[in-house]
Amino acid sequence: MSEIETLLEVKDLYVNYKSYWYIYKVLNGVSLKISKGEKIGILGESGAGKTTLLKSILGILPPQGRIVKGDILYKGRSLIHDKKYLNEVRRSSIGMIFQDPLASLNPVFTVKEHLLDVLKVVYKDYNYKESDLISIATELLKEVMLPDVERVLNSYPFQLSGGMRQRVVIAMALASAKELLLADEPTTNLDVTIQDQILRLIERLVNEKNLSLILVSHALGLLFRMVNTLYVMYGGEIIEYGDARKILKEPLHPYTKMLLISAPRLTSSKIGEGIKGNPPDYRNPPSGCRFHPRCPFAMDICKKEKPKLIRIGSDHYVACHLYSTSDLEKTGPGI
Amino acid sequence: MSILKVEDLKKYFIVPQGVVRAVDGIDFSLEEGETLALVGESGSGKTTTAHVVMGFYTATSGSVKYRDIEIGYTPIEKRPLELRKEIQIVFQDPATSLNPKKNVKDIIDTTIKIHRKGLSSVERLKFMLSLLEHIGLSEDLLFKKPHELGGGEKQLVALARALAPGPRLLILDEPTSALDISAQARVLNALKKIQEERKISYLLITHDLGVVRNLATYVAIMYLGKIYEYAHVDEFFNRPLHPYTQMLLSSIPTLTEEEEKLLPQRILSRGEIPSPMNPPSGCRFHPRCPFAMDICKKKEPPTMIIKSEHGSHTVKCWLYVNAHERNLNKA
Amino acid sequence: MKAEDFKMSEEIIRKEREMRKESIKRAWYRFSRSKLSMTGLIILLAIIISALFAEYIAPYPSHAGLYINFRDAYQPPSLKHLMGTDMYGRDVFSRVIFGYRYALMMVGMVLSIVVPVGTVLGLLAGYYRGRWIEHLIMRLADIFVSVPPLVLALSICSILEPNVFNAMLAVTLMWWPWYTRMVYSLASSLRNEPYVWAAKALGVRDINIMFRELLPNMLGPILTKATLDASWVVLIGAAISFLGLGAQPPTPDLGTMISEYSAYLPQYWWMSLGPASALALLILAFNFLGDGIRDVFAGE
Repeated sequence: MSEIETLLEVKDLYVNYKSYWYIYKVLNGVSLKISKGEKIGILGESGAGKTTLLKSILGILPPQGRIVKGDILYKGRSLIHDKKYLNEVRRSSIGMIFQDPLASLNPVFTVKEHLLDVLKVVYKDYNYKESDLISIATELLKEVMLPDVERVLNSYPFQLSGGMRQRVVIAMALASAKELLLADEPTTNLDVTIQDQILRLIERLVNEKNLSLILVSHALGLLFRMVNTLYVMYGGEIIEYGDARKILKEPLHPYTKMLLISAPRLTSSKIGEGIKGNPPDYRNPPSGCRFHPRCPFAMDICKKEKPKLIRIGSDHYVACHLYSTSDLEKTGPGI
Repeated sequence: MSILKVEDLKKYFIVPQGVVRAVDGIDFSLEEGETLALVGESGSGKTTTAHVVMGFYTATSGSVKYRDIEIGYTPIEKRPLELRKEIQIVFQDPATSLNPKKNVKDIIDTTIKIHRKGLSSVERLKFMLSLLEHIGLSEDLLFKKPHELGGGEKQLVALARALAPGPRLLILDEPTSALDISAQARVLNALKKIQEERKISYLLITHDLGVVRNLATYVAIMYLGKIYEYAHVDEFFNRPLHPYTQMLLSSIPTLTEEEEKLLPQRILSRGEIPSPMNPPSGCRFHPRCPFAMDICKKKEPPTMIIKSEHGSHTVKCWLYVNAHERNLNKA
Repeated sequence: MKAEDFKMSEEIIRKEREMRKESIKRAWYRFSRSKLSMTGLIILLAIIISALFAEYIAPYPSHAGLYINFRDAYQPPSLKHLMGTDMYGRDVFSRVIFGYRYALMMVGMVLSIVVPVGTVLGLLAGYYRGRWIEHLIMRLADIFVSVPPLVLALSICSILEPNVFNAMLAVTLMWWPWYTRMVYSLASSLRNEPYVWAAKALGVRDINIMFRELLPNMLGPILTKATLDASWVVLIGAAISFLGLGAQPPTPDLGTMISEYSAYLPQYWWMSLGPASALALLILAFNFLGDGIRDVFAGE
């Protein structure tokens, strides 16, 4: 439809986790599109399926995770059905920043060993010597503003502070992220002043290298600062998406509305209500709209039919029966 | 009489590599029915302070007085039951602060049995049910185990457990850090409601300034074991004085322009918090401070009292010591 | 007590009982999923029943003790004598069934002493880490552990009179430190969990912390280890008897029998094969069972 190149497209993805006794139907038809240079955010609370979505894109779901329906296309080619292509893309196009730097770094390897590991795969076909790779590693560490690169290279993760570890993780992601950067709660475990530094770093790197960014978080302020387009996830579904500022000003879905009200504000000491209830049990998810048990506006139809994403105004889509009318255009991404 | 009065509290830990000066001389007091927020990042000493008040550690020096009784040197095991009843704590991560093998009823019952002896099992049950209702938990939860509850519910159970003995002082150790936004609001509401009704005093440990806005009466900013600013919450957000406070505030990602305007001129965060084993000389913040002067590297700043509309406002910073006194101090 | 209070507490007690039944059902379900553990359980039950009712199950109960009938001696396995007969004409199969009695008695006695004692000592040592009681218990355990287990058991047996009871005593003395060590390491790591600190803050007494907060969280490894250890106990007990320091002939202890009959190898191979395979079967049963028990506790 547009000349802007679509980089990644998730088409109606269904992902289950299978354990001995139960099947967890986590992702329930998720669709997503990101173009070159675009920065999108995925807002959702824990258990919404955000990490599952990212892991599906990179094909790193745990063994119990299974993609049961749908497709993920990178530059038009399927990542699910073409393992060779997936490896190629992982190696040279997409990089991921994980949430907990302490958990994503192996405690028995030095930073140098970590980076060499990644670089050996990325530059597999290039025939570089180890010393070449070490210079690339050094460059990467400089780019993430790590002081005293020599020392850091030879350090073990436990010898570094939280902020420094996260910068190492970002460096590793950058090594393979030539086109798309995935970031899963990249600052959640860090101190607030360090969070700010890391976010600014990511911002700068994304802009300098013209990378596309998918930022996943449950922190509202973070997302609104970093991205233009926002997808709101609940219970394994996209329930609202569009221009981030629009959604902030006029949230449509009851969940989004209640979430924005609940967020603590610095301007007053009033506290929002919170949302009663808990995220859905994926073993037995609610019928129809997965949010209906907690929704103060739930109607009969909400229990029966899953609402489709429809467009309200330009660049704002919502999946909610409150907005289902025949004269509103029915569209969704990818159609 | 303040319910809690801390004077020149120091807590040092001796480790093989040296001495960790976790808390290095702090003073504050908490009045009945109010909330004092100890705000700081990792390594600031706020959690250690709370643990000393609680009795998990004993003070190295200084004094911690609960209703004028010195408790800083009495570890929790040695405290009389009467005292233990009055000071309780809610931990940060509800997933690990509740015994995974017990159900909610047993968890709360244990507390009730200890502190309210002489109640029959029926009376204990009634008490438990009314407590749960008060906090906003349904009685279906009674037989669930912690892993069957959502994050917010777990924390509310931890809160119920802490309230069962009938405490006067509740220590809240990052009560909402591990929770999602929707759960946070529930827990904060419960906390606020309970404080209003029962006039319990809260010692709130947090790094989340949003929570501070919602709950605190007074705020103390801690950095590397010392308190660098102390003010009433309104004063704090309207007029943050210390550069570190300003750095903290400007690091918060804001949602609206309104909030954006509230925050101080952008003091971009830089540097990282050094190790408490080897704190910088003079003012501990000087390596990261955009306004650092010569004297900041050499001498620790005195505590200056600033005039304010809401109660006392103190700050430890050479910027607020007039030039004359600074010169005197240089000598 | 008002009528409504009474009703409410009845309700709650009923619900509690229901919940308990539910969780037992679920535990059983987890266990029964594994064919291996079910097999182990069935075999073990069969062995226990036959040991208990040996007099009725064994075809020739009188052969268990002193019995001589040279006419029937050295018979290979047949329908009449499932495991053949030995040098005195005794039915090996019947003797083996009685032999299971001694093996199970060994397990029962040793575990019923070592598990509670070891658990309590381990809890005390782990919870009071750094204090004198930890040193006392663990150093004592260290002393026992420093001697190779079999050597220790044998020394005890050779000092005392060689018989079944002393063999059990020896195994008990040699086993308890391993148990204690495991419980100790569990207790000392668990005692730093926030819920233990919470319990302390709430005023729960140390004893209750150990038994009501820590112990339930350690049951899985403790019971699993007990079951798997059972097979070792049987083996060591048999080894002691094999070396002549345990049950003496004509007592039909499995180890003793293997020892006696091995003199007749390889010609009369069935004689030692009988008790040996019986022993192997029992050990296997315990091992399979142990896996199942581990699954029960891992599944939560």
